[in-house]
Amino acid sequence: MVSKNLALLTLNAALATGGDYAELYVEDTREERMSLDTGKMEYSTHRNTYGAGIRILKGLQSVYGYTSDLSKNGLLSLASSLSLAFEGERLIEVKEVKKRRTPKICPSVNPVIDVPSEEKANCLKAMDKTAREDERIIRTTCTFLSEERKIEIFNAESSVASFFTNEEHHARVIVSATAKDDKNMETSSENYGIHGGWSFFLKECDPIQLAKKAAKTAIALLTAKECPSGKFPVVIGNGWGGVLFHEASGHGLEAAATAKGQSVFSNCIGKQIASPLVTAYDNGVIPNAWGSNNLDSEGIPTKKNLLIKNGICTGYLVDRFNGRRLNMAPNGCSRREGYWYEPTSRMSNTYIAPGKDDPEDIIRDTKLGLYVVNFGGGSVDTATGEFNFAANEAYIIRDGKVEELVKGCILIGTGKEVLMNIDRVGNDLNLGCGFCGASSGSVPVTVGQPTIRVKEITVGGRGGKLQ
Amino acid sequence: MNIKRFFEEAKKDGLEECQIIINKSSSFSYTLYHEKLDNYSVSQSEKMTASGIYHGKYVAASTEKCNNNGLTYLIQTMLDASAVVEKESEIGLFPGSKKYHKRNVYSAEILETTPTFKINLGKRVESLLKQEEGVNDIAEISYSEEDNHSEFYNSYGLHLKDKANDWALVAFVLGKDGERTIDAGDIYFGNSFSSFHPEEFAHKIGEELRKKIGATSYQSGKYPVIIDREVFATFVSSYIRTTSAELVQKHLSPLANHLGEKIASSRLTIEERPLDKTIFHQYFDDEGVATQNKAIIKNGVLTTYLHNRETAKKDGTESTGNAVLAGGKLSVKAGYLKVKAGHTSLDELAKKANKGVYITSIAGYGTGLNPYNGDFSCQAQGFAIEEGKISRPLTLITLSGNLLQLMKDILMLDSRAKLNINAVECPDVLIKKLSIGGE
Repeated sequence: MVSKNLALLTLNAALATGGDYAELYVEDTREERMSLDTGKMEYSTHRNTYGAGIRILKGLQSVYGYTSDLSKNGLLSLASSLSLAFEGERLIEVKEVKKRRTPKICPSVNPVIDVPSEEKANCLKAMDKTAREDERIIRTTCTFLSEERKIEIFNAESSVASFFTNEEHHARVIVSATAKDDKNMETSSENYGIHGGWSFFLKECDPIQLAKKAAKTAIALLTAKECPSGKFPVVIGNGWGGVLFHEASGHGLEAAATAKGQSVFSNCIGKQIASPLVTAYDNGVIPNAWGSNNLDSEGIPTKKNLLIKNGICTGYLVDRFNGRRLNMAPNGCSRREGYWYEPTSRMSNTYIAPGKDDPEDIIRDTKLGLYVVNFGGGSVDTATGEFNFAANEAYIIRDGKVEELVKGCILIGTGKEVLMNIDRVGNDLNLGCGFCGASSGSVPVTVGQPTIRVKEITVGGRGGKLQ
Repeated sequence: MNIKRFFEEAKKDGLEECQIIINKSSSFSYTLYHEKLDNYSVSQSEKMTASGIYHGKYVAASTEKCNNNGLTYLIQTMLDASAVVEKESEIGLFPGSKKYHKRNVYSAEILETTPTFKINLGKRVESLLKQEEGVNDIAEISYSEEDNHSEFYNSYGLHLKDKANDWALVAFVLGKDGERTIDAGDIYFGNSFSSFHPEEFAHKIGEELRKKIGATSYQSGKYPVIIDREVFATFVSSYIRTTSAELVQKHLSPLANHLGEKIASSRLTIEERPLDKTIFHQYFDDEGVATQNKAIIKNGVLTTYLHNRETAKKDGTESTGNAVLAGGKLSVKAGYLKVKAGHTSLDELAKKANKGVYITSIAGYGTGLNPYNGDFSCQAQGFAIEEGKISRPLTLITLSGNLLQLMKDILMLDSRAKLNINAVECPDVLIKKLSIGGE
């Protein structure tokens, strides 16, 4: 996309006024999105994202710009105008651009973007047919996303610039089923995504099971009661339950939040921030996982980062810029949705490690509480640590038994309090796929955990007191 | 780039009709940290979005390669998409409206003001915030401005142009309430610098922070609730989404079969006013149809659904100018919404509520809402209302209810209407009862 020579000129233009680091991030992304609406392919569309972002760092200051004009004139004029943000003498003259090796964490044989559209359409049709087997399902939407991102990263902090290339291939299916009876209409969704090729997708993904699950839950919700409200014990199921850790703690452990001392987890390394039962990782190197990558957005190989060990905070997710303020080395977690975002520290595949408890024992030992199985998502204020997440599928636990399904639940609390209140950790770790939105855009992430129990969480709902 | 050639090539390749929208954007932004520039950013970008009819099917594609190669990509991928699309287009593209009501809302002032002035504006706000009692640290001072130019062309020869720009300043501060961190912030937006008053802006944030000291939870139960205008704007946006004729026709809106019926409190009137002179002004939609000001809810009665040309044809009516082309799909979207304010004050609302809760912020509403039946649960903050007065602060409570019932249960609206950044102008409202979760 951009020649080494043009990259060298661009980096030098960027560094002309005393910047101590310059980076050119170039992207050419092809995306195909198709969606089937209740038996009929409603639309199929292609999108080409094409452009470059230039970043200059000088000490604790950062300058960023982007353009969709990749011509010599386009890149040099952007680099020059950005450099004017600083006043100073040149510190670095780039003389050479050296190609660096890219690890293969996510090999993509037979890229999904190149698979004939008809094959992906057939996958959606099979899902649609399965989801509509019960006549109470009045609508389905089945969507297939395939994407190929070709990335070039050139960066310089000395006279020898580094050059990285990366290819990312993502595939994701989403099924949403809407059920209706005389009184109610309810919807449930399931999804699965990978960072890999078509054969890996076919091996790992069971679209029919996703469709069955979405339809079954939507139908069950028709007769669900409203969720009670108050403070009580909550057992959180494995897989997507990990959104609790993602919201309650993960964001607060990103250097973007901790670097300025404004996160509830700032200055916490070596301190106990969770129950001793909790060990947690952000692991960007799970082969072909939805949140994995070969490199991060700064050209640093992704890693398995231990965040919490037996309740003690052991590390943060550190990007290059915020790492300067923290005096910590970047650890491969700088991410961005596209070239129009400046990269920053973000989660990849984040999970609580498995414990020793049998999940059935955790339920059996709970007298009265809530068992949350599936979530819609959530958000957090990293300064106060206050988070929320909505539960799409939750059941009342009475005398150690899972009883009726309830709907309309929201769980709120503060990250520190909830982490300390985890009193059981199961042995059934599982992961779930989603997107995380933050300052550098929407990026693919997986969340995960085994079944856990929190002694007490504030639950919101319209069902009155838990009985 | 040759647009004329695009239409010629498209026609030659069998695209019976087509249109193209070209968006050119530029932006400038910065953030401050301890009065120094922490981040400074500029951008220039272009995007082309094309759609057309091929063998009777509606297809669309987009690219940021804004050159002749990009035009070829658009045509080729639209043809590729037609191989799997099964939905027939019943309306084709649009020759043009008889009249368009274009207003100039573009601000020369933003262009002419120097970056130094804009940076000093943020520094001034930061300095004022530091003087506010209770402020321990500044979490965020960020300024951003955007400049967007769009051009619409179609194979009927319709050519429309529009441009808009605006700026926004966001400030957040941190304070302490014992061991607990508290925060407060606000956003100012507009397209003129003269109407921004840094002292007032900073003082309001300081006041908001101080009011949060001593916050506790609240006894779970059902109470009369005052919803602050900023929060009510979120409810109004999602309520109006259910008036989309597309959702109604797919049996996915709880407002289906209610056209002309009373669906809300007679105190509630909501208008869509895309032609007003605000930064949200929009005089044509993504099909090239002229937009119009109109009441959607009038004195509680649903007066219209929102249509694009396809949904209008199905209902045997005219498009209301609400088409939006996003993600390759033509859909329906509302523009600037205005809720008719009442004649009373916030204090009167509290007096009427007597014992209840005043909600000033919510979080997690998007994921906690069932859009098909309006049930919602979300995290909330606010104040208790005791003996008819707004009193102690509340935090970590939940707010649950049903959006349709909430609109029916509006008892009063005050006169404190405010336009928020999500293009909704509305006052505070008093709701008969909603569920609060806490202790």
